[in-house]
Amino acid sequence: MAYSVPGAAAWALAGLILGALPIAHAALVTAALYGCAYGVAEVCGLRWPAAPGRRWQVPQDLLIGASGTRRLLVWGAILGPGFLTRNPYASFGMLVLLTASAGSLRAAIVVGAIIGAAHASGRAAALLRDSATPQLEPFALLLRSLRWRAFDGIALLAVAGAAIVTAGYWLG
Amino acid sequence: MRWPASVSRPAVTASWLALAALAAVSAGMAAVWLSAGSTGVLAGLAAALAAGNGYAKAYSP
Repeated sequence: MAYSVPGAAAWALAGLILGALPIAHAALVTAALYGCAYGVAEVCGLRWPAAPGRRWQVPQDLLIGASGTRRLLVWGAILGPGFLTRNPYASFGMLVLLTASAGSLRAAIVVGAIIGAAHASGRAAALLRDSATPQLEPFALLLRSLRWRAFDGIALLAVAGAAIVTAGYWLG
Repeated sequence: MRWPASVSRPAVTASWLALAALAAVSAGMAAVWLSAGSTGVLAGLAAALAAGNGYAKAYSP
């Protein structure tokens, strides 16, 4: 709950803003191009183009000396939505484009809330897994990250394929 | 798994990745085409992508 509620709320707000703009068709075409470009880059293991996004990470000052509840709230509010912190996978940018291409204001809010809840739940599930298993060695962590990057690229390509056909229906 | 000595392991991996990439694009296209252009497919893919992204972010070094 500490992750899912802020995640869904922040993404629903993003859906409200994006859905109010007349950019659904442009966002869908951009999603198709973005998915193809970043999907190929991630599957092939190319360093360029790097995933767009911020490089910021939660400073330790926010957590040192904080109570368990405050710590949970800080992590949930920042990591649940995922907008503020570093994300090495290009699929995060695709989520913004898919929210913008929902087609109507109501749909954008609903899709945004679903995306936020799903992202936050995935993040919380990973946290629970990390707390139950020993921390990976840095090199093993890097290897695992590279495998996830390739998988992320394949998922991006599937979304790009879906966006291409949807754009064909909308614009055809 | 064994493969001919003339074929390197990275080449085999690259071939599998290229096939997986092609299959992914086709699967996405087929899903929307079979649903007659339903935007629900994109919403479902977005939810799956979001959950995967959140889970995988734990592995970012």
